[in-house]
Amino acid sequence: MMVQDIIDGIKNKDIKSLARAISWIEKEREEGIELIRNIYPYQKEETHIIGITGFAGVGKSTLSSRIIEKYRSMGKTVGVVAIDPSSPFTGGALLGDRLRLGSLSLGSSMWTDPGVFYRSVSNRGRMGGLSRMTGDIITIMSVFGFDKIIIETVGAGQSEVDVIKVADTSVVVLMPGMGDRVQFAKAGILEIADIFVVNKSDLVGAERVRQFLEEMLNFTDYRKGERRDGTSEEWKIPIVMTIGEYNNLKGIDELVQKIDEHFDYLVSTGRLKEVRKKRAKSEIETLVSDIVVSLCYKNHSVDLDEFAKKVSNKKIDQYTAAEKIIEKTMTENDIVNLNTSHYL
Amino acid sequence: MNGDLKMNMVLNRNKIKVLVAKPGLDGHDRGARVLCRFLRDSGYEVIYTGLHKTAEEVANAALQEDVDVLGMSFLSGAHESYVPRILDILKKNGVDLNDMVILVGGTIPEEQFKKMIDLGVDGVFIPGAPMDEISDFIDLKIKEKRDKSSDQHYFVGTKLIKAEDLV
Ligand SMILES: Nc1nc2c(ncn2[C@@H]2O[C@H](COP(=O)(O)OP(=O)(O)O)[C@@H](O)[C@H]2O)c(=O)[nH]1
Ligand SMILES: [Mg+2]
Repeated sequence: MMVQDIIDGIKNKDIKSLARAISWIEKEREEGIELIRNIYPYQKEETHIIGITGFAGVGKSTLSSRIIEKYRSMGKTVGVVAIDPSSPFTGGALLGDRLRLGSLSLGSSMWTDPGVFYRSVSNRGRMGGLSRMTGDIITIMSVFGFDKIIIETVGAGQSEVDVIKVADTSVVVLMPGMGDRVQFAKAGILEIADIFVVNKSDLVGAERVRQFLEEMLNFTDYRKGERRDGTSEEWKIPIVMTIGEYNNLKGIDELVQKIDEHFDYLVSTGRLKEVRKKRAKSEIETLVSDIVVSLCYKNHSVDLDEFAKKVSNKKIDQYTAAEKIIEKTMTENDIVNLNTSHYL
Repeated sequence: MNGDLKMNMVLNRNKIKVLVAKPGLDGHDRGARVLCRFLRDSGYEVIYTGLHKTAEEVANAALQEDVDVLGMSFLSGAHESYVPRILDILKKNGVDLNDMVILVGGTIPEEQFKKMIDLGVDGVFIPGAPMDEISDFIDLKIKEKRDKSSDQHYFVGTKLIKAEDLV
């Protein structure tokens, strides 16, 4: 299919075109980059991007489904990107998030609701990195015109944390009995929360998790610390206690209300523009370094092994080697007519 | 493991997305779950629908996830009504069946193999078919469809046959 057909399809709200466009991004096809170049001006300013993160098994997919249902009852359309890890050995993956999406056998179906689009993707085998892929998928979904876009990802490791930084509002989900404080802190996901959720609050220990979070939030270092938008003083990070299972639901309305309040806050204070500018900046930074790195190594006149030999034989130092590689690349390449898609 | 890895790099299976679906009311999915794990361990990206999905739900999932392969598992004879409905919804939504590998698995009587193929199914697998044959067939079929090969194969019951040998 041609890029123009897909663009027209997306503008006409054709699901097949939307699905195919996302596949181009997922499969790192050249058409994906061309598509983004053509549709970026049509992103909806008012799209609200919500990140949901936390360790495996805390109930992120279950909660996402309840959040989707709530938004649908409010007449909002929802696009979802659910990211699951893949096996480091085979590259294969079981993308299990969709399993939790409410279906007809349990009540009303989010699977067939025309206001819901759900996409499962795996986190591996992407040279350009997870956050670039996620950012591009969100761009496409925003052009399609969803009111809310939800990204679900397992909050383990830096690349996963980076993914959540593309969100306007990030929700960090915890549950009772999950490791000690050090483990939370180490994962680096506490710092990015705009909202904390203690899910499975039907289980013992939920109150303890909440107390721990409250103590941490009262700790001034945290609140004055490196908040990505410098908002810690104005936005009081809420802690919402939830139960995601149908037979025992709790806290979903409150959670959705907090998520929307956070967006209203971003909009009314003008901080949304800052958040998005920051995101754009980090996107550009990653792209520039990805392209430069790839330019250097795809250039056949640069023989990395040769340089490595010289450095290890103490013929030259590593700084000189790096300078030589970049110099050689810059002088020998047609930097004027750079075609990015050859290097990504 | 090393062999798997090499195989996977050659075939690039981790860019192949498979939806394993359980349409209908039967409540057993041990087989489907075993298949999901096998396919994941063979390097594919696998999405499982879970039990009790309607035709609309299965078709919508295949459409939104833009899968390369749709595998449907039946135990109760429900394939006769579900397969045509699911394929119909896909076509109505602009899916070209020459673009997606369609598999049916489960207790399918032999006299209905041909009927399934005529509906647009590429492979019919009955219980006992070695799982390796499923993954081999997926790889073959994806290649044939992508290359618009003049040489098309189907899988019926326990054997791989050429299109012209289909009776
Ligand atoms: N007891 C209890 N179990 C829950 C709750 N929410 C989700 N679960 C269960 O927790 C398990 C993991 O849920 P899932 O949404 O897949 O977690 P994820 O890995 O974070 O996406 C499932 O078996 C859910 O049914 C809850 O509020 N209470
Ligand atoms: Mg999940």
